[in-house]
Amino acid sequence: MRPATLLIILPLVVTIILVQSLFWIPTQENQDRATPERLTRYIDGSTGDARVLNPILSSDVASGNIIDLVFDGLLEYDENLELRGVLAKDWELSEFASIAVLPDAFFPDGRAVDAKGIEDRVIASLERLPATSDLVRSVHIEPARVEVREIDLPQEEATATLTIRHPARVVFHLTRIDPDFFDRIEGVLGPGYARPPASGSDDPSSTFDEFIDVEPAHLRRQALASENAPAAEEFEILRHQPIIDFELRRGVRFHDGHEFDAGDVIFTFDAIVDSKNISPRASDFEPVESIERTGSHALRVIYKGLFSPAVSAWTIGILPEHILGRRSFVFGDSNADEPEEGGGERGRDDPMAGSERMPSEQDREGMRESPFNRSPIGTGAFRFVHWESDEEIHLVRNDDYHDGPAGFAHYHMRIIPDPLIQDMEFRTGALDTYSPQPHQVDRFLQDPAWQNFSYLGNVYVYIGWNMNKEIFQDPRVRRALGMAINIPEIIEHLIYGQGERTTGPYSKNTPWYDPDVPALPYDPDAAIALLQEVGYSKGEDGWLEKNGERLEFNLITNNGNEQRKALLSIAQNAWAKIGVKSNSQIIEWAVFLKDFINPRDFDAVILGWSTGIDYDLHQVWHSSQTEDGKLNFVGYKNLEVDAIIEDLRKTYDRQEQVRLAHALHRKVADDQPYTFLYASRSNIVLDRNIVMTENGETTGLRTTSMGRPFYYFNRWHKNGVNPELTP
Amino acid sequence: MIRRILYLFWQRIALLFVISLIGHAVIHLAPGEPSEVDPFNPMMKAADIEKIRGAFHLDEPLWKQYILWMRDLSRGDLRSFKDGQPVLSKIWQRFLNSLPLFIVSTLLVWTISFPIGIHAALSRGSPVDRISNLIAWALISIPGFVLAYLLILGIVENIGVPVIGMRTFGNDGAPWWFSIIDLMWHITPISLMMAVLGIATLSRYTRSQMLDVIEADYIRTARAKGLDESTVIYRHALRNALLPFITMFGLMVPGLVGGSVIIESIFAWPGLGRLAYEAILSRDYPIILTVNLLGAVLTLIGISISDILYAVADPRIRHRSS
Amino acid sequence: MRNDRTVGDDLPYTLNREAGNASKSLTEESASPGNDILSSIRRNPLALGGLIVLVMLVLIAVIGQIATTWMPALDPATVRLVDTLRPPLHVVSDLVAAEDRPLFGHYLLGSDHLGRCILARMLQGTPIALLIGFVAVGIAIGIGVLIGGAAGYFGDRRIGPITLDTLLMRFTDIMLCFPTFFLILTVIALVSPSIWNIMIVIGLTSWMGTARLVRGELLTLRERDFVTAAHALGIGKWRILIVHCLPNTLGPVLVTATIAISGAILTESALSFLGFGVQPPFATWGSILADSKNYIFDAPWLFFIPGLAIFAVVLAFNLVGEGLHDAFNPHASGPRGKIK
Repeated sequence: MRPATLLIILPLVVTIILVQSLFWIPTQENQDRATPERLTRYIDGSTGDARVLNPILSSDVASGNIIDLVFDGLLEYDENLELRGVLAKDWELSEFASIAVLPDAFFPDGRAVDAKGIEDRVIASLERLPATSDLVRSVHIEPARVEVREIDLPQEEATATLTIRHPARVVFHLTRIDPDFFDRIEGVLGPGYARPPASGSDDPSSTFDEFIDVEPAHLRRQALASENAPAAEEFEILRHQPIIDFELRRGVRFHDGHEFDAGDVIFTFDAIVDSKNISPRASDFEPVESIERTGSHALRVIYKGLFSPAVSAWTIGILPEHILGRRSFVFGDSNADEPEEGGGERGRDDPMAGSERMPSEQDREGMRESPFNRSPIGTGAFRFVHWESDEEIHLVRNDDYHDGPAGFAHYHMRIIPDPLIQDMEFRTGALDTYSPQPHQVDRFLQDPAWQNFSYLGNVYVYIGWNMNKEIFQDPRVRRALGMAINIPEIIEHLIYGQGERTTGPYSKNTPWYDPDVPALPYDPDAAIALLQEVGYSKGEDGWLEKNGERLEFNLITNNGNEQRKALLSIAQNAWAKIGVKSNSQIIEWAVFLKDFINPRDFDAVILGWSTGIDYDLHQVWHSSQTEDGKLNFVGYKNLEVDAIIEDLRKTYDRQEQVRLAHALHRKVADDQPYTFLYASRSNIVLDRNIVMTENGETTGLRTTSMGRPFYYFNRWHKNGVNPELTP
Repeated sequence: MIRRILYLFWQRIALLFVISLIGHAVIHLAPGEPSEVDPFNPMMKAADIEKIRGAFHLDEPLWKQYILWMRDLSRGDLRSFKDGQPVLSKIWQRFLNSLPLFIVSTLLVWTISFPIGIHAALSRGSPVDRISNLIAWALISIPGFVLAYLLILGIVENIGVPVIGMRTFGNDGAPWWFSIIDLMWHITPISLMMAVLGIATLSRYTRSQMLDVIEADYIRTARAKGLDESTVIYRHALRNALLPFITMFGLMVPGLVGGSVIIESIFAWPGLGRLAYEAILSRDYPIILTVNLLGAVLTLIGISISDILYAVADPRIRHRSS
Repeated sequence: MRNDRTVGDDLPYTLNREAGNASKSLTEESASPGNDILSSIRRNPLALGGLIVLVMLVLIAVIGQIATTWMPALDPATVRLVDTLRPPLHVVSDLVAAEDRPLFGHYLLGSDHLGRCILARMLQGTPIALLIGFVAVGIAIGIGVLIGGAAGYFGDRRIGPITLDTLLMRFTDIMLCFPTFFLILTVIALVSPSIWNIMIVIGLTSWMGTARLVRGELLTLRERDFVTAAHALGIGKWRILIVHCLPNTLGPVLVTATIAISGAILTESALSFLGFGVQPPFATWGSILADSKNYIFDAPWLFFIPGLAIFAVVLAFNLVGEGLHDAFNPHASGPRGKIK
């Protein structure tokens, strides 16, 4: 061959060989060109890697997604946000309502109080009342007893001896939780009975003073404050102790084949409350007084007092005791499967044997360092296979899943930090889902190649007013400043319509949100009028002032969020128009928390809350949470709101909960401690070929009442693939 | 001859030593420390910072840190700050990922630029020559990452096949030939981007070499002998014009490390360049230092290869050195 | 050995091992090239075009600096959130306050994700782009001439067992061994990324070519008759170096510098693109590119405008550099020549 020809042909050949490979590569429309197996995989994208795949330790979104697939809770929220059983076949709420028998107290008719007398009189009184005849299931009497407890006080380098005189109690086992029980029977003991004679001071420990003696006496305060001291609730005269009886599903197996039973639940609970594990979920389980197994697949949880949010805490994933339990800590090999080891089993049945053993590494370090967190085993619909850091997490279907196997055989979560790359990978078929950013939504919605879902997230953005500052103490000022901001315009232009007005502290798609609460109108003139009503008037320089003092404040937000940064300048501009001077500052997150939010050293702040779907707002709105470092950093104190929050926690009736939540929403909206701006929408685009099977029929994807498609994920599969036949 | 090679070898080892010394000093004397990986990261506890300081002997004097680095490196004990993996195996794995890219882009550069350069030289002054000259300058002038994004934009918008990463995700279980073709496709756009600059410069260089040779006396002689034109050009001229390119071959080797930081990051290719970039972002000193050293080693290897090739190819050099 | 002759080819791959005896053909006896060069460039349409672009660019930089500082309509920091990601020539929305309206009520080059006027931001970036090129290359040329001059002219002085030439050239070799862009990236990531740091680091890492070039030139010049004559006349060594020799290296150095400026601009844009550039809200072309990357599918013009600007400027510098090179080397293989 002549060199000239060779010189022309060689580059052509190289180029052609390279470029022709293009024709073999599957595009989004024909993903299965290379292998039909591609259609059995669901590939998700995440901007961040998971941190820890352990339900009791994780608090980030990426880990949460995986954990939801790998682990099951006892309960879960169904499509209407009501609880339904998963690992629990059934559950029943009941209550121990108990009355302490005070030795020197008298019935209203003058007879001395005794246990038998209380029981008879209460039963008799209930039978006279309507609709309470079947309220009491059984009655038993706890005799009085005296307990001596030694408490080490390392800080004092001393040991205190407590002599605890538990009073006798008459315990009524009620068939349901009845917060009004003691009101119903008030006539039996008289209104004065519940207050112990000695209580008078504010010190909470004094309520049970008379039941406890401490030796030496000067260490009394320290001893009672110790975590080994008996809880104050134990000495309440009239005591509610809600009970949840779980009946667990039988035949459920962990991914390694070991059967799930009540011991796993108890183990999970112990791990959560173990202070070594520093579980972010610990506060949910703090109100639990005891948990005991009442059968191989049954258990009873007894609470310290009325606390209705406690039930939903059992949505937490259940850990396998046979792997993480103290005997078989040396994890990672297969000894968990070997029956002759059987450490978990014995340790559970024979607690003494467990405690006599040498403390294992786990006992010292807690679960945070366990390799389990990178290769979890649960009972969920998907089994963990592989985790390549910063690359992907791979799960495969659990064919043995108690609720029927999922439609997809594989689940991949790819970690792609760059949204642009996620976009490209989605459009070329290497991801099956993508969450477009607000400015991209139009492009994706118009494209018939995808199916898209849009739903309101549980996040809202607000401007918080620091009510420790004098200028914001008047609600009219807060209202006026809110009315000066054109929120509909922000929603339309800043987030391209991907959000909705919100008026209160609840997530808009929960029943707790009251849609009838009116939104703050955009009305700068009315805002000025309102401020004039408060006493502000235009000064010589054009800014509003009162008594010669200008209405001026600092608005801050954290760095790294473009939306908030934009809101900062929009709000500043809007206020300038009505003559209110504000300055702005953007601060790094850690500094923001440490130097501004936690010490309450700010005037106004733009932030967002991710609210969840719970009705309990204690952490954010209760006046007890205004201390430094707690979450009510705007210093909102309203006794009526406090009362509603507390009532909500004691109410187990859903109708009543909705009513209270609406009242709470309205109260907060009236006070405007925040100017509620908007709740963002979440947008999801999906491969159009993803369909779901329902009752044996293949249909398009359905969403829950909240508009979310992922609730039915286990029934999804790709069109053309029969989920039953795939490997 | 052997004495000279040995001498060159020792000289280069000494050079390498000095390079590692300077690299170490530059990175350590620059303000900022690994303990400041992310001072605003609340997850970074004081204890972690201490752990890192201890692991990297940051409290030791500079010379001792250098010795410890070298000791750990030679024993293979050196570990990344970020995930505690051994540095050498990490680099080796990424090196293997970068290698096919390097090979293909080199192949593209060398096969495409010669015909263009020769053709331009033979039609000197013609519109073709002028246009190819302008295009070459244009390709040199366009920022590589802009071009890369344009390519990505074009492929994704118009063809709709995956271009990111080393493979099309989700095709495990496909036949073996698919994996090869898939890899080939994913190499194509990125190696093309890496080759663009090389094609532009090398074709210009080829052109000027050819022009020099064509004007030389022995070519005139060959023509005068009545040899036909293609024999003159491809037998006599090209052979002589190609001689200097032998040296360039070796000099391309260090491109394996430095040449690919941005392009590999854009295409999310898990190669050496991206490893280096990620290490810089997370202040992963052991990796930064070692990659830097690797870059120097590759440069020296490249120079040695080109020296040896040149000596083999050009009898004049061989003569002089002995 | 003629392979290392053309400086324009000295860009990415040629690491001139033999620079010392390489550049005989560079300087001819004609010592004052002045007019020849201008007329040579005038005859070269590409170089002329490049030169015009550069002159315009300097004008734009000056005007832009004044306009963005003093004209509110061209304030690059004005955020208009109701008008985000508008295409070029889009009319401003009525919702924008009167004092925030862009020039002529239009976004002449479109608006970015915060509604800032791209035209204003590009204008703000123009002087920076030029400044970075000139300062970084100034530093590089300064160091290069110093080291190259010392090695070439005083090279045979001995420091201990080795000559000064060996010492300096070994050092140059060492610097050439570092993967340059990676080294720049590392240092910039470690020191605080300010515009001056970027210039200094680029300058400190790109002087090696100039040093080799100057040394090579001086080695040949030293043997020339006029230097010998000057010696014979008893003129001092320093005077010979500065008055007679260095001016003769000016041509090649100028060519290198022109082309190095384009390299420096590219390097800066790459650094900015990776997020190590000038700190926001200040705009450079590279940082505008980096900002617009995420909107490439939704607002591609955001990406094209700064990309095109960088391309045009770098190309202009390169073409002018090539024109200069041809002007200094009338026999070089430029496109104008004819095969004899």
